[in-house]
Amino acid sequence: MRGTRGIGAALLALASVVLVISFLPVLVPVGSLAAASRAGLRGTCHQRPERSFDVGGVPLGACARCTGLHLGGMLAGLLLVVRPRTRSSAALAAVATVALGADVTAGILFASWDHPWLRFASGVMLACSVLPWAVASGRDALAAPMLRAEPVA
Amino acid sequence: MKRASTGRAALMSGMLTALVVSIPYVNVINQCCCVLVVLGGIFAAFILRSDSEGAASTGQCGMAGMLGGCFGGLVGAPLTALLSLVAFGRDELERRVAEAIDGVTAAFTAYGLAMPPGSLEAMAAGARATSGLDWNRWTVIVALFNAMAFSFFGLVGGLVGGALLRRRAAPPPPPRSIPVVPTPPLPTPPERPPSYEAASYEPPPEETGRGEIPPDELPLLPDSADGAPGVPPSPGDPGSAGPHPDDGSSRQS
Repeated sequence: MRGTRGIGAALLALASVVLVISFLPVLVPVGSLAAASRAGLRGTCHQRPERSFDVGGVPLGACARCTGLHLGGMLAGLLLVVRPRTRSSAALAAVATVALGADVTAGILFASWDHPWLRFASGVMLACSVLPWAVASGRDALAAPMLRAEPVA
Repeated sequence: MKRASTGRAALMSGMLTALVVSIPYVNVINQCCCVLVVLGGIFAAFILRSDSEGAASTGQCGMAGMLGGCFGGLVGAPLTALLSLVAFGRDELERRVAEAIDGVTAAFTAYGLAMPPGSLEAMAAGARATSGLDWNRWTVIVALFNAMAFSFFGLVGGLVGGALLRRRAAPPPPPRSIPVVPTPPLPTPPERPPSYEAASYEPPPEETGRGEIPPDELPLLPDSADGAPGVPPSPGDPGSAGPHPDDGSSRQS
């Protein structure tokens, strides 16, 4: 369980840092730091203002879906730290992946598809379902060889 | 079980990630939920699982993906700027930076969002630092921010790759009610004599009896008086007599 807690702590720390970076344009709106945070996240996100949340009129450094992924990663990490035996089914992870794919496809095909909260929810759901599943299934795969029969003397 | 190197897997995936996210036009794909960095993390897990013959833990796969993402972000940001400068040239990059700033300003205005004072100049400085037009401390800061974001998505990719590429479960153990007792090895059977059919029969060499004379060495006797050819004497024939060819004496039985 210590390994699972370590993975959860790493997820929690990294997701929190990235979330703070994406909130820097809101926290420090004036100066080069906000621009640097936007530039730093430009490689990972399209940062279109119409698809991003804004606080006081200032959009975040990441879009709504990426913000959901960061927040979902943080929640999944917190869950793995507090309850290391948390597990998620592969079916739930598959449903979340299909839902996010459908949302991305709809956003590409239909220009009028403008639902930031749906993007945010799909990102949170994907991170919260896939990450516990990945950690739990890897843990089970390592525990499986322990069932090997021992020779009888 | 082989000893797997997390650093080697992280270095390989990080180099691949840095290269892919730096290529102009290809790096646009990464703006879709950082999918290229997630694939880089899965690649790191694949290398680690291959090196360890499937024994690497999920945590090791996640660590390899995270380090690979960190390396890719640190190296990728300056490499992106350099490749952009080489591919497009300085004039084209100046035009693109001005166009990007105008686009952001227009988007802020169109959606009624407030543009903080001084942010345009800062945005221009950051854009010039990341596009290869200027090299200053903002290039380093942007590379650090980039590395943080890439580390998170690399960790996610490593965990997902570790789960997808996990080894098969061991086969079910045999029932414990039947003890497995090792049997001693059977004694080796003695060598069988060659069968009669298989053996080639060779008759022993023909022996001549003691005292017998081979037919070709029989003495020639003179013809009898009536003209009949001479007959060699036999052991039981008392009437036959003649001189012995060797010593000239007559043989009498």
